Amino acid sequence: MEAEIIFEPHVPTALRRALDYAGDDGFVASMPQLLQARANADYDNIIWNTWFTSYTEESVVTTPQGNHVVVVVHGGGIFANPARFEKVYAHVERASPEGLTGQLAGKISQIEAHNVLDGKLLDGTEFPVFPFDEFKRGIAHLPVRYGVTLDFELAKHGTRDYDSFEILKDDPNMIVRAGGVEANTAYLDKFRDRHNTKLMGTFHPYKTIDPDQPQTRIPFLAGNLGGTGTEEEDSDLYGYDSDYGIGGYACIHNMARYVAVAPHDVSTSLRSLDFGI
Amino acid sequence: MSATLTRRRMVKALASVGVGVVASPLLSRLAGADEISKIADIRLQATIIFEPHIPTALRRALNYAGDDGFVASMPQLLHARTNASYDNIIWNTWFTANSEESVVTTPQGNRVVVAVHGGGIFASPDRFERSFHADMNRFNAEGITGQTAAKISAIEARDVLRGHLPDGTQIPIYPYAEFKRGIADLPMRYGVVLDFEMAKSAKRGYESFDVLKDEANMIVRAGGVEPLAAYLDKFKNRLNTTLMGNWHPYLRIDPDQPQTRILFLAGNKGGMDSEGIDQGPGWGYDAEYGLGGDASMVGMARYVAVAPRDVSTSLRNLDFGL
Repeated sequence: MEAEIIFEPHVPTALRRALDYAGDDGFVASMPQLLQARANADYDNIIWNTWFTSYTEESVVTTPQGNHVVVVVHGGGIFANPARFEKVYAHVERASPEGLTGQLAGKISQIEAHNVLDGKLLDGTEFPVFPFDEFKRGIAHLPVRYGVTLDFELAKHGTRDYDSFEILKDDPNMIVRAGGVEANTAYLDKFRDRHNTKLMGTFHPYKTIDPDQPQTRIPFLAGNLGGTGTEEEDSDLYGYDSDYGIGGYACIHNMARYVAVAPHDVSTSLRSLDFGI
Repeated sequence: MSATLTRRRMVKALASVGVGVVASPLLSRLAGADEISKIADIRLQATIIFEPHIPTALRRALNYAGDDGFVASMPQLLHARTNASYDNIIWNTWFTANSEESVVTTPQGNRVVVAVHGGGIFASPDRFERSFHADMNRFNAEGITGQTAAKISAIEARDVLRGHLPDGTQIPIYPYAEFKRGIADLPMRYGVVLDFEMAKSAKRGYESFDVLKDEANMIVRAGGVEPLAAYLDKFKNRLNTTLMGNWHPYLRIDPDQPQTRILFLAGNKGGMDSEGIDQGPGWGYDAEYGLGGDASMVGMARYVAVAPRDVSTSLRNLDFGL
């Protein structure tokens, strides 16, 4: 398996290239996969030294029983394909049922919302969806593609800022984004030990949105060269390359840096050939 | 890319990249400087860039190459094949070369072919787009010729003869006779001027390896007599064949119209049907026709871009949890 960084200033273009690279036998890295890679990589690896877009999404939906929940899908959900992003971008009018929300999430339809609750996508794909309590206890043999439902109020009251590693280890949004309690702990310990810091950022949009509007965002993993400024927002230098931890409220119309992973026969690669200079 | 970047200079440049990573005063001020103070493992890493649109492919290839890398010219592609095993992808598909051949008329009224390796008039995606976006009337001064070369201006033609490129780069231009005798320390970017009638007289089709070893277009495309012989021997030995294809457009163009084409290196999996004998319905863009110089300037492209990369910090082999 060989990983490749795909950067484009336009999410659908980046995702299209990432999916092309991944092919049928590879994958585009979800947030748990990005964090797993970081947890097992040297700090000087590029995985620690820039930001990434995850192949993970977080949707706010209302259940048939009228409860607001967050459905997190890792490995490709409603926005698994570039065309779905482009559908949103085609309706940049706040009142449109298919465009961007005022806070720049992607609106989804009631059918999409109800389907994703059941682990179904419009293209016929199905995947398991675990309630947060069950997920927190641990799932044996998690697949690459799965979902977790989280009570909206629980998600809303999770950390939305810089917090201590001990609190983040039990933060429900963090646990879901990391792919479980153990994976979250391993990542946070590794993050903390990089510079012996005490705080890390984690962000969500749930205090500033209308949960009656079904909507989806994709989380970003922050990073910059050296992992500088990880404990607080620097008023002068804060920007897209700030190491703010994990972000879940970025605009869905954005630039993107995906990691695509696919099997490659390195014995026939031209990567290390001599081109005669 | 410097016009006079030789092998020696490239090695020196690579060394300076390594030193820069270790000792940059800027980096040493960073809080994370201790993390990146390891000795960087800088190596040239090649990648394939394929796009169905030449300017898009070239733009991506140039982005990958950056200031310290290059997009492979025909001599570089052939050199890589000569030194690679036959199962490497370099032998098993076709490539677009960062080489071009222009037909121009000298101030003295002589028709010549100017071959430029490493980026010439069409060194930039914008130059392709300028041709594509011109009125596609074959009488337009800036568009595509009826035989799908790209028209170039009289100024571009005059300048390339003198090694002056549109981006301000100055490259050395060698007369063919001198080039055939051999040039010491050839730079990565250079040109060769060949008499049009000589270029035109070459057989356009499949030819024996012995004839190809002394064919002028082939010698220029390969970067000299020795690299050509080495490539042809390697090609011949792949499947013990006796013929290889060599293509040029000069028999059916108007040489009074200044024009340029880029070169393609043919290939397919296994190198099948490379002698032009079994060309049935399977003939197509993936046929192993040898070296092509008569393709349309509007097409798809598969460049090879090469650039120094610090492999010690690559995420290529990280564990993403599967």
